[in-house]
Amino acid sequence: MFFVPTFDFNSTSREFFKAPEIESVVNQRLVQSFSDNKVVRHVEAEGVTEVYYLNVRYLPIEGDSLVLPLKGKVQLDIDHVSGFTTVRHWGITVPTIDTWDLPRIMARKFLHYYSRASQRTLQEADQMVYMRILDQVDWQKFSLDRALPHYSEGVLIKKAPLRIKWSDDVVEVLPQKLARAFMLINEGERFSAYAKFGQDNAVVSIEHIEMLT
Amino acid sequence: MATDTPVQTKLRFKRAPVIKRQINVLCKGKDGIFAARQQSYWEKISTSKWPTESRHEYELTCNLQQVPGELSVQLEKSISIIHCFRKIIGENGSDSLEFRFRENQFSLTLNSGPGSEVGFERLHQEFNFFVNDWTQHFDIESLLCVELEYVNLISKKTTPALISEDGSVNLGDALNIFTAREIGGAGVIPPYNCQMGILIDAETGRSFHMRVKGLEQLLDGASAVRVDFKASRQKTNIELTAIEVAEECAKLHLVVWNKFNAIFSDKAKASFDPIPID
Repeated sequence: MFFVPTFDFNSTSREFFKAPEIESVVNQRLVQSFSDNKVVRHVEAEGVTEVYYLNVRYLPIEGDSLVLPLKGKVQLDIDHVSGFTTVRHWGITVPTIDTWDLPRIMARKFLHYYSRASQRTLQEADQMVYMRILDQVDWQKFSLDRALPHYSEGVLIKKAPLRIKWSDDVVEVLPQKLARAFMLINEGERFSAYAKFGQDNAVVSIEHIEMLT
Repeated sequence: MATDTPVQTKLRFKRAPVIKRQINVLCKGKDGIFAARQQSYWEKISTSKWPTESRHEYELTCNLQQVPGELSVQLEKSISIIHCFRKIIGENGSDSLEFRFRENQFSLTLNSGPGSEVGFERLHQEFNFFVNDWTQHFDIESLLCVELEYVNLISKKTTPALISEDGSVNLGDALNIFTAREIGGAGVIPPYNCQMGILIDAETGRSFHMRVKGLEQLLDGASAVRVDFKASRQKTNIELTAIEVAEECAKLHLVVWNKFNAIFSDKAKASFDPIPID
């Protein structure tokens, strides 16, 4: 591991750059670049494709907030003879030296298929790969996180706890952290707002509040 | 002037055999925030004046488990991506600083050698910037653990006075805990591979660990030994702010300094060019 709360003096083997004069002899590190010929030669001698799991739990999709959650581990087949890495079930093969960029490449692939599927232009040949990808990602949470806010109207019944009666007569208690959005609305007043809904149709954010009374 | 100079000490060493100093920080971030913001942080540091070069590295981890009820093991290998930046410092360009980050962890390393003009003060100064910048960017409220690591190298190049003419290391002369007169016998001989830990303060979880390990290959035609120190504060129920972590580093440095003085022998320290300080 890199550094953990329990002491492991192999920590000195997880160091990265070495002082130049001892580079050749203090080479006990697990951290290696795939461009390091020592690693490549070692694996070539075994003549196998190595299977690794990529330690990534989310793929970055948009800006500084939207991510695509992964359900499980991403499996990589690293072929040191050809110098290429394949992401199993994703239809992605990259030069092994570019493994660091896989989260972005995988995110692009997903967004490409997701966009095509939304536009109903996904090619038949790609549908199988897309289905396999969907098996490995939490696309439902992604869809909710990505959804645009909905225009909503309601009445502010009480500020604490934050109780709203929506225009369809459904009364809902919202998380108190959303109360700041209603700072200028008095209890009993009607309002309109753009609300974003999460799992179980719960409001996760609310903005653009306007008075209707 | 080289090396480290807490106010409490009376000596500093111009040619202490420290070749690496590293501060590690561990935190618990919010789910998904790192994945969402790592690219922007990478771009921010890459385009700043800080790094001389940037690259990515991988940590390969092997998890070996016995298959229940069978005489076989299951090997699971995983890859973690580490974002790295390097900055050459010092007049002759032989010293460098390295900043690495990954999810919930970052480290700052100073590579230098005996006679170098830079020491812990420079590392600490740079660390103060990164600990604030990093925690703000990734919206981290508290930090769980901080470690300060020192790598000392006893070799023909770094400590010639401690190497015999035949190329062997006089470890008993270098380290107090290996003096032959206390252990018995004519002298300490390889292999050297020894670890120990000291609890400095149970309340804060501050501790010190050391490892003495002989290198498997010769350096400059002679044997060489690594003497690694690590002072850490790691207790998961005490979370620290960025400011507290920066302050804690100075305290950990004092721990390392005191142990350095206690562990290295007077003969060794005399060979490190001690300079009295005011």
